[in-house]
Amino acid sequence: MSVTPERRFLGLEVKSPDDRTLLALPKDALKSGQIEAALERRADEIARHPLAGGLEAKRLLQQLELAADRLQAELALSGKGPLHPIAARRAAVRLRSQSMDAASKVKQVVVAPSAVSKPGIGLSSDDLTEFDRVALAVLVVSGGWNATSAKRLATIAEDYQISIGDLERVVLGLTEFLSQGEGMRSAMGDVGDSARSSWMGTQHRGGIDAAEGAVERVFTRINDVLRDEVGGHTAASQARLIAAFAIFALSWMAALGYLFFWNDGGDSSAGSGNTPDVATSGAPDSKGTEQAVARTQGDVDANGKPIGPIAALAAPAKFPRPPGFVATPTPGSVAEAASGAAVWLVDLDEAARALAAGGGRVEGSSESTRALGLMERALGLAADSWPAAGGYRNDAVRAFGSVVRVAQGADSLRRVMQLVPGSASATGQRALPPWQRQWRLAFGAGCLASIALDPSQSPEVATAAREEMRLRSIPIPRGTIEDPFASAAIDSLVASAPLLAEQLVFGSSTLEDVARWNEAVFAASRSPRLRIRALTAAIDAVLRAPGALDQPGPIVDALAYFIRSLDFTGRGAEADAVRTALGAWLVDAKIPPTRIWVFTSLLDADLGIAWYGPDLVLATNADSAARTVLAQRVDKAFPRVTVTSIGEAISVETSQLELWKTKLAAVRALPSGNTSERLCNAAASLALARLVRAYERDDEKMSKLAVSVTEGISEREAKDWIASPSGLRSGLQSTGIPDGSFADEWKARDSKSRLEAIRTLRARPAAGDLGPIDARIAASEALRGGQADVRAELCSVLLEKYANGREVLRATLDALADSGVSEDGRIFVGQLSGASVAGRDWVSEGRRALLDKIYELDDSGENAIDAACAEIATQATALAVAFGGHEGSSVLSTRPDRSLSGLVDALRVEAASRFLAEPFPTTIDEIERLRNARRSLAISVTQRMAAESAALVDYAAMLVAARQPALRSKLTELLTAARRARAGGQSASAQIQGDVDAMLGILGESLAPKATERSNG
Amino acid sequence: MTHAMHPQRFFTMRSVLLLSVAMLLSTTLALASPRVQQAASSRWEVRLARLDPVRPMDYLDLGEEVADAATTEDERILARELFGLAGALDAARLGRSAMLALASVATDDAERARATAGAELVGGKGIERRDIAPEPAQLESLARAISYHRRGEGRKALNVLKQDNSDALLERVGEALAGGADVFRSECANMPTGGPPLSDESMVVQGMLVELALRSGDLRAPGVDLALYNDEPLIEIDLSDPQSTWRVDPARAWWRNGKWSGNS
Repeated sequence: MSVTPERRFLGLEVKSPDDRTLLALPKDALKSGQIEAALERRADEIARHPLAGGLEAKRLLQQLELAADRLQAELALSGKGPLHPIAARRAAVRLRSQSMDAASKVKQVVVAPSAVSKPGIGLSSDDLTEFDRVALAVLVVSGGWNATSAKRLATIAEDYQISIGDLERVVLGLTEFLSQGEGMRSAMGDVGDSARSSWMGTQHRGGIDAAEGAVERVFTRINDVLRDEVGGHTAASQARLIAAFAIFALSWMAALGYLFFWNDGGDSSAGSGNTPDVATSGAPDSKGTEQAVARTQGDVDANGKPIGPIAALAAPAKFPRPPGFVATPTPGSVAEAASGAAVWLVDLDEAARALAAGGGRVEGSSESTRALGLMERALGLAADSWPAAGGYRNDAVRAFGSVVRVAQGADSLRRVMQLVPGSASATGQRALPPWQRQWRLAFGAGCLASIALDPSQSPEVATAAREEMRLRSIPIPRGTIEDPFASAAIDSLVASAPLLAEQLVFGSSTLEDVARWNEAVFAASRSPRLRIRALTAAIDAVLRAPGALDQPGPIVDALAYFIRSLDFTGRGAEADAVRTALGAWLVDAKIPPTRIWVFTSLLDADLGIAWYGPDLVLATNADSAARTVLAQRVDKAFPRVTVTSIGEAISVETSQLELWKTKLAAVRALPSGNTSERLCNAAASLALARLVRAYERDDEKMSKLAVSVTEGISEREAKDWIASPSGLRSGLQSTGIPDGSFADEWKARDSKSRLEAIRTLRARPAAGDLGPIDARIAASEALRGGQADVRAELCSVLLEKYANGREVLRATLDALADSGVSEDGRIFVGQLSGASVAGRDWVSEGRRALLDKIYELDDSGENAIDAACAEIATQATALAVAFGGHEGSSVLSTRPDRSLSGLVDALRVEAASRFLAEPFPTTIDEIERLRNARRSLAISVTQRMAAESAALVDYAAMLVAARQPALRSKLTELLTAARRARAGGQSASAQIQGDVDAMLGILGESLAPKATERSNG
Repeated sequence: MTHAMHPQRFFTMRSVLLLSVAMLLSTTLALASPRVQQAASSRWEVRLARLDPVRPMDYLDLGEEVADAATTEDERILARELFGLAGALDAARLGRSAMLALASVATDDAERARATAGAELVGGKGIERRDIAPEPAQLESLARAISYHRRGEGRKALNVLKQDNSDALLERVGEALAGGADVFRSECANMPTGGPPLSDESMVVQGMLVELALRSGDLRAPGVDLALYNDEPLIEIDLSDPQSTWRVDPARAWWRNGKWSGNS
């Protein structure tokens, strides 16, 4: 039996494997790069084989390449992303080689496009017209149906006298033809035959292609001339060569001189800072830019949407794993230090008293020394852990203000100010990790700014604080400052961002430092404006840091992390700042295009930025004009939320709005008579809440999923909820045999009679359980029976026939209450329960194992509660992810209370990024305080869930109010009703259901019907 | 032969006598209560009249004095009103103290639990409450007692409950187990020796679920958890509604003519 090459080289047992099997690719959706990687893997496998140099190997390699090409063509024609560069090159080479003799072929008659797209399998390449073949080749080479291929095909179609409408039909027909697979297989080898190179010639190319061809010709010509001169070996040729190279060298020197000396003042915006403005709505500055815009305005895709030139459709940067990282939680030592925050306040209070006792003077008296000691300790501890201390941070700053108020005299004040952590000398002395150094610096800056800008402090105190700030080079916040601490601390953190980025590149900082930096940013500022400022500064620092961004590493992980932390959805008043910063990065000449390529690739890869597509990825060789064009296109694509008379509503198609209302009514109409039903309803409501998020993000896939999951939960039948998840069923008692018959037979004490009784037990027809009386006797004897052989036989029967018997298991459990169980009994319990039971506490373990088994055996209301809670956990996690709460989602997915907690955290982060002139319904700190208070009151799992669900309502209201402030009165009504319902709730599950329902109602308020074109006029 | 009085008749006569005395006493007390109430409020009249909502702390101080000196239900009600007004008038500063004070003068467990929870909600920062965490020996003894109870061997169950402080654990889980620890003990005590096992299927299952819940600890399944704790609501107080929170009307914070009234 001969061995096929596939089997020999690749180990494939299948006869005639299909393309995916050949390349070991999965059946699901593919990407161009994935196919190329698979091809490389296979090529590598063949290369490692001893017969790699043989003809068979080469043929197989060709076969693999063809398979890869077929898959690539299928992918390209279905419009799923750009073609991988290697694949495009390969297709072009094949086309060129196959078109050598195509010129001799006679031009064929064009068949009606409908003939190409006739349905059914079995369509071969013979059915294709010449034009079809040409079109197919152009599509493959151009990377699918895009602006370039459209222009080329339109030109060719003119030659064939085919209208644009027919051309579209031809392309659609070809797509269907290729999607049939078999047709593709037979046709691929032939498609290039009719695709003459002339079709790829200059006259059929767009402007960019023509320019590329001209440059190529000039260089070829120069190359030929130089070769002739070098080969001439004459004096004249040598003189000409010397002259040519001298001119070349001089021109280089002139160009370099121009670059270094004449271009300094050319672009002031590029050198002015990290965020130069980009003209996003007006006309471009330069003539070149205007031309670039004009060129791109002509590029449209099949749907008539404007798209960029080829340079802007670059393949996004690929990484072995998605860049980014999950921030580590606050270190235990910090959390521990923060838990003692109340002591800081006591110490500062005591310091103020001691200083007052010393007359407010720091002159070496015991009181003042004690005061300084207390103050230094308290402030030092606060500086090391303030981001984890919550509201205590503000309390500590206030308490420090009280101490300062007591101090008298400039020297004393100066001395007190010097104690504020973060001075260069103090931070330099201690061996601190980078993040803690930043925390101390930020705390010190915030503390001093709070004193300096506190109008209630005396001018002397404010002057001393300002003096200390100047000594530490801390900028004093100017203008109207709402929160001096936040402003100064964020300034400090922003200033440390470039150093952090550099240290990441050189390895002296880690992602832990990035996580802690971000933690400090979020702890320092309540205002999203400040946070956005910090995050944009962080991205800016990473983009300007040395080191490669296109390689996996901490710097690119940090970039992805910052991108995820920043809101690119275009909502809220801060969207302008993000849009401006984004545009500025794209055009900033100081940031190389390769780095912007990675940055835009990450924006494209981040699922949270649904509007950013691969067409907005910058090419690595993009010039300044292309960058400006891309910046304008990004600016155009950046979402602008519909502003209505009541704020920024989420615009939804009328049909979708109706769907929302229908589903909401359906969820609210679900029965809620018992705990499990109420929990099921809560799960359905959570699933439905994702619909609002999907509308907000304009994510059709998510909206469909949300609806289908909601329906799935709502329509699940009661029997499915109560079903045992283990699939185990308890055994049934044998019918017709009365309970107690075995017990009666057992009364005979001789082993023969008892063995006979056991045999009867074994012979009971279709029995899986015993009656309570028989079970009690059997279990007791199996554990403690005096006759070893009888006991062994009885155990054997029980294990064989009655191991799933509810009564047998219960009786065994109860029999364990008595002492004196033998070693055989331990083994029997282990086997009966299916668990390992050993050690000194084996009875305890045995009881637990038996109880677990009994719990798993039957359908029950407890199963329904477990299933409903699992569903809540799943839906809450999914919703949290939809709100951007990626961290730890997989870990929390099985605990409903923790999943809800994760969801609340995600909403809190979302709410914290919104701008609210006045907190609504209350501050985030107060919501969190109440949440913690409720947690402390909760005992059961449903109570713990109810402790979280209350915060869901508040955060939902905060999010909607941030979008539409005019809805506050309506939201207040909903909140009041929710609170009343909650206070009057008869059960925790009712409270959860009520809260989630209230959240749905509140989120629904943010939806508004999308204005139709007709209504727009 | 003297006729000794029949015991049953003796008890009946004694019951009638006791009943009569009780009725007489209660009537006297009822008639006297307005005087006591009057005396009680008049005791504090001057101090009450001096209260002003601009000084909420005075309400709390006086409430504590009234609660300490309270001898009648009216005075305890007065103390509760004073605490309530103190909390309602300055929830931020005095709310937590007022709620804790209300808990100290609560008349029943539900009211006490509400006030304690209220103290957390009004001004607490959240201290994690611990789940039931029995000692291993304590749990084993209770588990055996539950098994004996199921088997109908009440005496054995009661004996086992005396070991390893399992009786204390029974107090905590008795409600879930049998509607109360006392009910469980009573059932055990009433089981005849050699009697039938427990026939109430729901109690049998509940006993196993409670044991499983205790053995599973924090990792217990939600269904089992609810068997232990039931689906009791989380105590919630609508802080945005002072009247329902403090059970007083903060607009009527002036003591005039022996009652709370508005500033008119």
